[in-house]
Amino acid sequence: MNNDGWIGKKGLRYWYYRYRDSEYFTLGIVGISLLVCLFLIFNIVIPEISQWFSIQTEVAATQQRISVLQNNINFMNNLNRGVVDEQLQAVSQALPPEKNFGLILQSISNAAVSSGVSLGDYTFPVGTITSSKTSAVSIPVTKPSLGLPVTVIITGSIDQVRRFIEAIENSSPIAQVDSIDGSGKTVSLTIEFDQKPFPTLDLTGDTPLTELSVKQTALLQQLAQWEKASASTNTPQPVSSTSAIPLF
Amino acid sequence: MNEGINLLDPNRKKGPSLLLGRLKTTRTIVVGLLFIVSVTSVILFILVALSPLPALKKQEETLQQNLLLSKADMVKYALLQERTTEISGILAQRHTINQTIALIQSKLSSDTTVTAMQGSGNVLTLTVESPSLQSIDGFLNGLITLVQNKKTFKQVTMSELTVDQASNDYLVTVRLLLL
Repeated sequence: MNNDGWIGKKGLRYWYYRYRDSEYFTLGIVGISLLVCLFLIFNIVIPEISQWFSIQTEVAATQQRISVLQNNINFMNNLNRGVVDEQLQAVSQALPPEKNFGLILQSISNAAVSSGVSLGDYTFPVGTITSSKTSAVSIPVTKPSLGLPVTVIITGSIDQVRRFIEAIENSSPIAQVDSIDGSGKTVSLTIEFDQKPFPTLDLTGDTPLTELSVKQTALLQQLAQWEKASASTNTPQPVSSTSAIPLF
Repeated sequence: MNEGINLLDPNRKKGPSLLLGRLKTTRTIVVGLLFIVSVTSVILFILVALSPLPALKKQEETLQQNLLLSKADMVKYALLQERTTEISGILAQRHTINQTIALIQSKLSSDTTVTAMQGSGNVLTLTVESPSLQSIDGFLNGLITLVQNKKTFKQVTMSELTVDQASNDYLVTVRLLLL
């Protein structure tokens, strides 16, 4: 019988059996357990709970973005690209992104034809035509307006003048009569043709795309009508055979 | 004699003390708590590790890539919306002077004509000619009615009334303040 281990060595088992029933052993176990508990709570449980909540928030946000993306994809798949191109062209003519003298002259000419006024002189400031980087002299901009003012002198009755203004106001590009000055049958009009550059778009896929509102759709229909009216004014009138004057 | 050879301390407590009993209960509770905290840690770790976030991120990326194919059309559509909003705003704010002129014309009698017109901003000055003072009175009353109805005009001021001896016509100049 080997009892040396018990008497001489005093190993771990000895100390365990020596103190297992003492209050120090129990206090030690309680203390160590509490320390481990605290360590786990502060280093693992609380950070994990915090991380779990942030993950849940991120999951909800991502699911929402995915939903928007899917809606956008469906929306774009159902979009009639040809119609959008036409509508964009119409609105770009109504509010050009840059000075478009051709459209302005066409609008004035069409208005004169449809109202029956005779068109006199017209002037419009061209402004800076060179790039500011290459220009040696900088021209100060006195008027911050984005419109292009055009002064037109027309001759006609008050009713014709009114119809001329109406035609100008109901055609593309959109315009507003800023001032009117006339006596007799000659009237000078200052018309401001609006223009605005396209904005810099910061489009992200998760920006929800929405249908055009009723107001916007009505406006597009109105612009289409203006374009139609303008096109009909531009169409050369056929000369009837009865009114044609023979040259020989 | 037997008691004389007892090597154990006769004063040694036979049963567990009250304090030791309580400590053992506390030990059991604390060890149980440690078990619960450990299990909670493991469950939380598994929940975090098995979250659907990476899969969702991947799905989002794929959808972004799909949508990128329609980027040009998206830009066109966004520009269309921007332009329509801008145009609506401009049309809502602008003065339509043709309607003002039409309203003035509606108040003119057949023998009355507009001989001069100046306007800028919200002020319009008109000179009207008529051989009859009654017609001019009717015209002015018509304008006053419009002001009273708060329709188009805020104020009407008669600036001048003259008589052209050559043509025997009356000329009246009125200043209209638009709403």
